[in-house]
This record gives sequence, structure tokens and C-alpha cells, in this order.
Amino acid sequence: MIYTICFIFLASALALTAFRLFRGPSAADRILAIDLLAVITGAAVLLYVLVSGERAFLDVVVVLGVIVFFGTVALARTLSRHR
Amino acid sequence: MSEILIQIFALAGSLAVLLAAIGLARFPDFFTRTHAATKASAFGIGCLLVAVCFAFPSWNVVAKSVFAVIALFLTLPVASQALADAARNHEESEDDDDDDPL
Repeated sequence: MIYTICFIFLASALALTAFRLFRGPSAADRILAIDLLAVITGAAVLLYVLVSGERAFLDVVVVLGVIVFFGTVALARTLSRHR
Repeated sequence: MSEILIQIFALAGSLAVLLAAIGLARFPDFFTRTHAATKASAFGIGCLLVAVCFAFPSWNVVAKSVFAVIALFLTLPVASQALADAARNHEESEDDDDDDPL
């Protein structure tokens, strides 16, 4: 019951972030929205770990965080080079 | 008792992530959006990892969760700092023909 509410929260967060991703006035807004999409995905994976008891999915969160860090930094470098 | 704690932390974490998304969608400026999206989402992920630690109290899970918290709390601010720096440089180079404010 509680977990259903949590998943509804995360789904609305995904919808709002997708709105900013499609709407975003500048490229930096879109990069930030992609970053937050990955964080919401990590939160959904953690909720799935809580619901199902599959502990192996904890590694997914760690790897996702590191990969998204490199992606965001690379996109920011590209943005600052591209003048 | 532990079940109630798990549910409270899970609810608080997803609520914080939802607040981050609301801030990202509704704030008027790019820099205020980075402020909302980075800090609130880091707090939300931290709360969810605490909930996972309470749900599976074994060394394996707690060590992985601590590593995930350290990785996220180190990388999220660095990424947002790099992005804000790039956006400021981009903005400054876009209106170069304006008067120098300094």
C-alpha cells in the first residue's frame, strides 16, 4: 500500500522531469533533466529492492550513479566548449 | 517497529524525489533548478538507502548502501557544479556585446 504511493510519487516525478526535458529552454536544462531522470530510476530500483527482496539490484544503483556522473560531466564539458 | 521505519523512510525518500522534480519543473531560472534538482534528489536517495539498510540488516547490504551513498553524495554536487559552470560560461559568451558588469 505504502509502496504503491511511493511508486505513484516516482511516476509523477518522471512525468514532471520529462516535461522539463522536452520543454527546457536551454541545453543545460535538458542535461539537468537527464541527470534527475537517472536519480529517479535509481530510486525506483531501490523501491523494487524493498518490495521484492532482490538484494542484487543494489549494485545497479551504484553503477548507475557513477555512469550518470561521467555522462553529465562530459555533456557539461561539451556545452562549455560549444560556443 | 522496523517495518514502520522502513515505510517512513521509503515514503520520505520518494516524496523528496517528487519535490525535486516539482522544483525542476516549476522554478523560473536554470540556477534555481540545479538547486532544487540536486540537493533534494540526493536527500531522497539517501532516505531510500536507509530504508534498504533497515529492511536487510546484513553487512553485505549495509556496505553496498554506504558505498552508494558516498558515490552519490560525491558525484551529484560535482556534476551539478560542472553543469552550472558550463551554463554560466555559455550565457556569458552569448551576450558578449553587452557592457561588462564589472
